[in-house]
Parts: sequence; structure tokens; C-alpha cells
Amino acid sequence: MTSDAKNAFTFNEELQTEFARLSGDWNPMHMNTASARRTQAGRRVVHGVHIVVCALDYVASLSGSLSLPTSLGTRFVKPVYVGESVQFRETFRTNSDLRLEALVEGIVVAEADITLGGAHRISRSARPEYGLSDEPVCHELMLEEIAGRSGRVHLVATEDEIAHHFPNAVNWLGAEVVGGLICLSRLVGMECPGLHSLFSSFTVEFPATGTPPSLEYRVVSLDKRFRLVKIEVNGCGLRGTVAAFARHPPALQTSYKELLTIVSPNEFQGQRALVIGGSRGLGEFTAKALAAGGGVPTITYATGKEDADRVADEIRQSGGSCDVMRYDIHTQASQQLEVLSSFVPYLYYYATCQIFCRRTKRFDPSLLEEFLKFYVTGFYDLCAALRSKRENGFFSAFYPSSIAVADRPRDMTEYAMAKAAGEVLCTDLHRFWPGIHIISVRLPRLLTDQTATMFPTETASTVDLILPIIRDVQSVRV
Amino acid sequence: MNDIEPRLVRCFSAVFPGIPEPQITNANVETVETWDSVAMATLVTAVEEEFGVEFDVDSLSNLTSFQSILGHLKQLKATQ
Repeated sequence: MTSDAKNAFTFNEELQTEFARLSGDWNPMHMNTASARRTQAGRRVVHGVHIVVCALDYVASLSGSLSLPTSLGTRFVKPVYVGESVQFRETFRTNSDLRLEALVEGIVVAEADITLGGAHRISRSARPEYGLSDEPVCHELMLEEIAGRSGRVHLVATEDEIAHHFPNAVNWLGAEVVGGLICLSRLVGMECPGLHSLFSSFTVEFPATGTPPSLEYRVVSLDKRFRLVKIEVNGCGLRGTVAAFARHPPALQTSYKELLTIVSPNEFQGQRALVIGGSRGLGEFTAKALAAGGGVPTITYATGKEDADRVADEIRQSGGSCDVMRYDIHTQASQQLEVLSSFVPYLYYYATCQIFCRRTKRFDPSLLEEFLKFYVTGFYDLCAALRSKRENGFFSAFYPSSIAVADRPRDMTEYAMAKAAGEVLCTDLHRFWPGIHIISVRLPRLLTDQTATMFPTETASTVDLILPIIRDVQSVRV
Repeated sequence: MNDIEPRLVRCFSAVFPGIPEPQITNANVETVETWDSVAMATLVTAVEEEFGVEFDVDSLSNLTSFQSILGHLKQLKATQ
């Protein structure tokens, strides 16, 4: 870790890769930008266990005379994004009760309670098996496969590597225990629940008697309501329980084949439409629905090229038409539209940034600025560019607003403000730019990557809600 | 029956250690920063474990405060 200031550690790119190598936890939510954008965090996040081990290394560096811990309970509260700085705060509640907190901009992101007072270093019955390199496989498990699952996770790093990266923690706890903690990351991120996991918490004891040389695990409960998995672990000097969520995989939109049975074949025959943000979510649905009705959507992506290609392939393989282009709202719109072979008179604007993110304040001006860029400035620039490309300036557009404007759920102040501003813009463009037809609808929660949650939540039907809007937009003669 | 409230306070305290104990009985989803869907799932399972009950999925969306959970628990315990 790098020290920015006293007790501030930046989890940069290099450390992220190094921890993945040490732990064997290469889960895409940590290591792959395109995959991570489809998780609830929306961006790549630091391995939670990495933060905890760094915190232990930090607290061990403060004093060489800490007694050995008998237990460690940790909870991951909020995600930490790659490149962020984390501060650690230690509080001795009593001589044997140490609380460690990791904070980003003053907000607790992880917390650990340590009971001190262990008398003996762990005595092992078998020497831990360090440095076992094997092919990193990130398991994608169905809930049914998780229930009752058991297995073993090996230490990937060597004893020297662990000691090199976390010298104080190793000096305090021993390489075996630090290695065992690191193994927890691999267990959750790669083995079980694996690919679609979210590490919630763990509680371990450090028994004086020997534990197995690699980390043995067994799923002891699975709460299907929340997809919460509890796993017993035993090995590498620790014994305890891990809690992790089996996240929902990225939201699947209605398939193109299914839409062929819902949309009339010639409903949008030959109509060209530009679907900004068409690589997933509502944009993906819109593109498929248009193509299913004989339309010719051009879908855009900013970072998710693979996803955009997947959508286009799905449409083309069943005989539909779909083009793909890159479009970034941060770049001049008119310049980007030059690649279009002919004028596109229908526009669907689903450009968005991460809506639900970790907050550090009640109102964040920089967040508002980001939302305004996506939902107001970006939309205006594109409309102006489209208008200038056609002599009569006519086009028909859909601007998705949100019920958050009226309902005002917690932590969505800036989002609601920006969407409200977008509505005002739509109304005025409609009024003062003749020939432009803009439909703006306050959408409820629909199934997308951004609205995914651990908690059972009802979502409206995309077919019932979005298809009529598409029909309205496409019915305008331009 | 009388110990439901202090036991529920302990559950809240474990899941939301940042809330000062005197404020826990007023805690709700609007005011507790860390009360997100993950915390809610953790809280519900902790409460269920502590009280040996299971909340119906349909009731979960109404459990948005300490007081609403307390009320729901009392109802459940009364019918047990």
C-alpha cells in the first residue's frame, strides 16, 4: 500500500492486481471494468479483505506489543473503488477489545472488532501449503448449486510474499493466519458464491489447536429471500463463519425472439432510430423492440462494447437489423454523429452514469454536475446536433425521466434535481424548436443493472411500460 | 415479552454500530446512512435468529424503522 499522508492508504491499480495475484481472487467485479459496470457498485471495487488485512498491518505497525487476538469480526459496509484513499481509525474500548474502522472521506466502509488476549501462537498439526498455483476459475453458481456446497481453498501466495506485503500483520498474527484471511477473499470471490458474490462479513477465531493446512469450507445456510449464504470455514489458523450474498446476475432484458412474438413484424418497418445507451437495460430492450418491428436501430455504447455487440448479434442472428457505434456524451455530439450513413429521425436517450453510489454527504455538488452532464447538457447537445443535420429539423425523441422527481427517495437528491431539469429542457425544446417531438415519462423502477438490489423488490414490466412509449415516439411522422 | 425491545436494540447495535444506543429506537431507513438493501438483509436475518421467527417476504417492505420492526415482532410473538 502507498501512504499518502499519515494513516491514509491509496488502493491503486498496482495494488489491486497484486492482491488478486496473492489471493487468487480475480473476480471481474475487482478486475474487469466492463463487467464491474454491470454490478451494483457500477465500478471496480477493492477486495474487502485487502482493506482488512491492510488495517491489521496498520494497527500492528503502531505497536509491537499487541497481544495476540482470539477473534476477529469484520463487516464490509460500503464499496471502496479502485484508486480511492482509505483511512484507518483504531479504538481500544478496553484492553482486550479493539475496534478498527476503514473510512473513505469520513464514511465508514469497513469495520472490524478484535478481541485481544490470545496466549499462544497457533500451533499447527500440518504445515500450511503455501504457493499452490492453480488455474483461477471464477465459478458461476446457481442458488441450487450453492446450498450444501463444500470444498477447499489453497493459499496461492508464498509465505515470503505474504510477509513482504503485510510485514507487520505477519509479525503479529503469523503468515499462516494472514494467508488464511487472504484465502477468504478467494473463497467468496471465486469459489462460493463465486462470480456473482458480495462479501458481507466474517467472524473468525484463532484456535490454539491446529487447523487444516488449507481453508476448508462448507455452506451451512442459504436464505433464498436475500440470497444470503453462510459458510463455515476452518483452516490456515482460523475457524469461523463467512456471510456473503449471491448477487443477481446482470439484469436480462426480454429476448429478441420473445419480442418477435409481441411486436407486429412491420410496425416500425424501415424506421431508423438512434438508441443512446443501447448496450443494456432499457436501451437494449428498445433496440430489440424496434428491430422486432422491422426498424433499424443504431445502438451506442460508451464503455460496454462487448455488451453492445452482444445485443446487435442477438438481433442479427434472428434476421433483424442493428448497427453499433460508440458515443460518449463528454465528446461533441455533431462530430460523433458524422459516422451515421443517413439521418436518424428517432432518438431514445438512455445515457446514464452510475445512479446509486456510495455517498459521503447529503448533497454533493459534483454528483449533481455529473448528472446534469448526462441528463441535461448531453441531451441538449445531441438534440441540437440532430436538428442541425436536417433542413426541417424534425425528429421525435424519448427522454426517460423518473418517479424519483416526485417521490424523492433517500440519497437521490442530485439525481432527482437533474432529471427535473431534464424535464424542463424537454418541455422548452418541444415548445420553442418547431418540429421536434419529445416524449418525457417519469418511469418507475424497472429491471436494469442499476436497480438491482439484494432486497426483494417489485419492478414494473418493461414490455408494458416501454413498448407503448416506443409506439408513441415512432408514430410521429418526421 | 418485555425483553423484546432491548434485544432488538442489540440487533440494531450489531448491524449499525455507528448509531449511538440512545438513538436506536428512533432509527429508520431515511435517517440511517448505512441502512441499504444489504444492511436490511443482514438486520432481518439477525433479528430472525435472535427471536426465532421468520418474516414473511411481503412484510419486509414495511419494516423501515426500529419501531415498525418492534411492532411486527410483538405481533409475531403474540401469535406464537
